[in-house]
Amino acid sequence: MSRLRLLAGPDLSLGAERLHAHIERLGPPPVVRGALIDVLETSGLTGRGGASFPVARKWRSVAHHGSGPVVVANGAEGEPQSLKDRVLMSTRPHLVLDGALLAARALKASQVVLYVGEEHRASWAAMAGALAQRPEPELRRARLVAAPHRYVAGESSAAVHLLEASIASPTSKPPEPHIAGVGGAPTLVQNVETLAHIALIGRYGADWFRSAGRRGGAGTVLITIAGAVPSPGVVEIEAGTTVREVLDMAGGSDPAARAVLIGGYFGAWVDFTTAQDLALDPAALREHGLGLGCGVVGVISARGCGVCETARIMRYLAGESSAQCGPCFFGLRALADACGRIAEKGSNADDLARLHRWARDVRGRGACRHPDGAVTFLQSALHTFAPEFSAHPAHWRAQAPGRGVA
Amino acid sequence: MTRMNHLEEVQSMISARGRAQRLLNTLTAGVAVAAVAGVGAFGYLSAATLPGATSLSTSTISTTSSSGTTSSSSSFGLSSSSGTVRSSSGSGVAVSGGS
Amino acid sequence: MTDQLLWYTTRAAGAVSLVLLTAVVILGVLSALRFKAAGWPAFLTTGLHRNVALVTLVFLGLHIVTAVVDPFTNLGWVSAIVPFSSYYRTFWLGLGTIAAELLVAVVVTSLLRGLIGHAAWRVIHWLTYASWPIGVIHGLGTGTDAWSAWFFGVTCACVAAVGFAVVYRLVAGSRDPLAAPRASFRSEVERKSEP
Repeated sequence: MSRLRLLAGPDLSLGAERLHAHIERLGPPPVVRGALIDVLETSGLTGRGGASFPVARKWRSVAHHGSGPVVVANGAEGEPQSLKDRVLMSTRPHLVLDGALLAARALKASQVVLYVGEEHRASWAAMAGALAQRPEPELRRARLVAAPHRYVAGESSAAVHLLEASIASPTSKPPEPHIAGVGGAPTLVQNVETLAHIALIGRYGADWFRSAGRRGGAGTVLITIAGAVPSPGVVEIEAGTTVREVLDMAGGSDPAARAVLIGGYFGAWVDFTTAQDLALDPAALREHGLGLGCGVVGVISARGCGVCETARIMRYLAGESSAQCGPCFFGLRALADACGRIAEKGSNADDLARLHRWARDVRGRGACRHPDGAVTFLQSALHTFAPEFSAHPAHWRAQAPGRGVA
Repeated sequence: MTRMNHLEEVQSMISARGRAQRLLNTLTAGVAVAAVAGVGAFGYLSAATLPGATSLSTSTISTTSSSGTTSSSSSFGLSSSSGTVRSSSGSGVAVSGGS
Repeated sequence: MTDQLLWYTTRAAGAVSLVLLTAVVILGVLSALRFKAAGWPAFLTTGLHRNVALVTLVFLGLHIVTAVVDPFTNLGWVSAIVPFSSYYRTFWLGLGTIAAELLVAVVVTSLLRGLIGHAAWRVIHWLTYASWPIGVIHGLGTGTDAWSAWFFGVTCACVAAVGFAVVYRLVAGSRDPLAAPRASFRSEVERKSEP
């Protein structure tokens, strides 16, 4: 069931794998260059940063829009519940660096940047140490840049913005990074897990990658299991594994489990029974109107409270607004307040109506995609926890808006 | 708040915006007209406060203004035919009130 | 008589330009305060600011042209473009040239804001805080006859009005409700040196 590829090798508790052990286990980084893009296309690899965008298509776009592109390895991991990028960087940094190297060579990049969350100290130390061990010129010249500890700082345009203008604020204003990003050059922003997969695909090929996977899925995926499970944490699974199978890997789930949050705070709630048979594969989830996102699967039991959780997360997301535009800053705050009122004081028809109405109004009006994600999350909560929202007793004690709450 | 349907809301927004736009145009026109009038008024004042002319006449006689406005320009025409002092740099530019 | 007419016109147009520019500056300051009322949406203040700025340019142009073509000042077009190149009250007139050119730069960049980007536009727009006082000093300094009571009175009123507006703006603070949270966000996501 768990097919270890990225996480294969020495025990994860031993920390960062050193370069010589990495080369001994997997061989040196392959020499593939431009042909790699075709291999990636055949493999069907999609991005693991949240959008599940086809990797080959992104690379072709970057290659098309100019010369001397910049490769950014995105290890910001702003999603609080997600642990996979940290685990990967702190135990298999050379897989990530191999992937960045292959990308740099295939695209003839002018620069490689490693964008690592400033608060992920272990990852930072591992990546810095690994970088120092590398002889390749592309990696000798690579820069290690701290991603600020804010939810939106991990977004592609925010990363580019930080490198360009020293401020990690996201935007949906053109031009997009793959057209013109750092220094005006086409910029490839790729999640560190995606790069790790590329490091292996470059060695073993597309067919090897596709040899893992079920129910039409290809390759393996890192999933973070969180919430009401006995052993939360990061697991590597074959794409297409069902939620039920994944939860079994975490020690089974509470029989009274109520719902599952798929994709983290930028994802959606699904009723537990419905979720059981969902295949964790981007294409399969899309058919249900869901997304894999950054691969977080969070379980809430009936002992927990969907309304209170939603209110807490909405408050967090509202607080993480970059305050670049009114609709997001004020809209999300209004939505969070309405949620909080229902959670704290009990259901009321006015606030419920407001939630539905304002959620529709806010969508699409932001300067970036943050409010859209928050609204999608909220609407899934209103749908999944409909009975709770309409009959919630006053039992929540509001906490001060925190950050980084798992 | 009365129950307006969405269409009425939008239409009232549009007409409010139209009213404001018209107000802007009116104010701009008003400013332009006032500015022209200002040039006239200030031109008159400027003529009145300069020694030698109460009106834009071609008088060549150096006389003080009889309008009673205080003039801080104290120098009268020094050359024989000047009615106004235009330059105090003393470079000897001949200024003439006559045409 | 024509030359007198030109002279009076140039002074009058200069005074009117000063008053108009004062209005522009005050409207600009008020724009930042995002004043809104029934029947006066926020875009009116900015729109008026822009329109009056263009009207100012017209009368400033009139002031410059009448000054230059006046046969008795013999200023020549060069002194309208190159600061401190006139024989006549070189310094004070030069200030006027500078103030005018700053203003033109501001208006041109405002019209081309789409091309140069918001940040560059903002920096250049701050030059207006230089253009206006330089214009005031030019007005007072160009010619002893400039200290006639009416002109002095007008200048004082303009200076008082701008002073009041600026103080009010500083005291009232930016009415942009997003200013504080945006600043707080930006301070957190600014690039720090690598840990």
